[in-house]
Amino acid sequence: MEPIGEQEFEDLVKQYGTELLHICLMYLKNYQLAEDAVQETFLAVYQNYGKFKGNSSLKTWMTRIAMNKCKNILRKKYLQVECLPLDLQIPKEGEWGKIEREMTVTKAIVELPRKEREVMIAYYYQGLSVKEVAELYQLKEAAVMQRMKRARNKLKNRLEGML
Amino acid sequence: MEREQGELHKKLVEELSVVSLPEDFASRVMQQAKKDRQFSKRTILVFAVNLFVILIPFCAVGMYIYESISVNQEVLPELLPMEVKNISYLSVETTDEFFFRTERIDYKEVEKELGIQLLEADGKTVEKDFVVQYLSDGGNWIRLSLKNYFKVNGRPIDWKIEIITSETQKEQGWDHEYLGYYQYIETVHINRTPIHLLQDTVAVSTLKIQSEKIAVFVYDGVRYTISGRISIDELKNILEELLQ
Repeated sequence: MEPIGEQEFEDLVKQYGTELLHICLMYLKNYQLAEDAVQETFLAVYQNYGKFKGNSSLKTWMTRIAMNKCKNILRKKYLQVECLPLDLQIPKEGEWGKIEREMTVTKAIVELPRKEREVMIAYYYQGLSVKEVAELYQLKEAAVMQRMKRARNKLKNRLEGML
Repeated sequence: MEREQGELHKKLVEELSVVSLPEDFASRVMQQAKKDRQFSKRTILVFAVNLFVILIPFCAVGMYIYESISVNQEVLPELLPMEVKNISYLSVETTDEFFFRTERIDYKEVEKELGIQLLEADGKTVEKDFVVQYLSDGGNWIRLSLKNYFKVNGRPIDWKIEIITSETQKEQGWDHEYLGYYQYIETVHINRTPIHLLQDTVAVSTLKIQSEKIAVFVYDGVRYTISGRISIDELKNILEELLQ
């Protein structure tokens, strides 16, 4: 593909930025780190857009980059960052209590172990099929199903009536 | 399952709708991307030529930069450098995703097993329920958490000890960011060891209780973080006893 133009890049940020932020936030549990991961993702996209071969959808490609950025951050910063279990640091005063009370599903998913969390985010938040989740994480479909089953069992009590 | 997927998707999107990127995010990334591109085009040659001339005398300083402590993006003055330690990892049966974890009840035994001499709270009465939590990635770093190590005026004191065990980790750095509810107080020097003193701000402003005070310093190439809900003078006394 041709290198990306300025306007096209801005459109890409607008189109996928928020979704990637939410995915990274659920993965990293910290707003500031999630924003860093999204920034690094878009920088990588900008620099490598010409090399994107179209073997997967653009969205899958970007999600995979974002996941790798998250893993790098987690490896490097897991120990160094003092953060709450889910640290949103949303710069909107007064809304924290409301958000915390109402984020039942988000909090439940965020508290899952990483591997289960990954597939649950992809399946439930991104709305991917099991096959697509398997492609995204380069797993067998059976492995995805198994992780989802484990995760759903853990979530059943917390999300009564939803699962 | 599909209906369930749809319902949960809707709920997640709804819950997370309050979380968004800053308005200037796209332009910020764009600027950064351009800067990176300009840097790579214009400066690689100059950089290569000047590398030996400029950087070699300061290479040690360069390493320190990668070990910064920051509080809400304010980078604090440099501490002594962390060093790569050649240690034996604890034998740990269970592993999770990235990490090896275990708990031991004897700090001295842990030191012995690791093959490293660490600071100890000599003269303090160690709490009965004190345990050492060990966490490592098995190749690059180790973190020991000493929860409720001893008490000062009835208040528990926690230690965190971070040890770099590989050159790779040293190169990657060991930055530590205190985000959100933290405030930098000052940097003191005890026996030539610079120590950053911080406190949490929630306790002061909201809870009206003694704030958690935190001391961060590097001693013999190992980073120590000592914390507790004590006064700053009590914390300084602990540090003086340790480092004198």
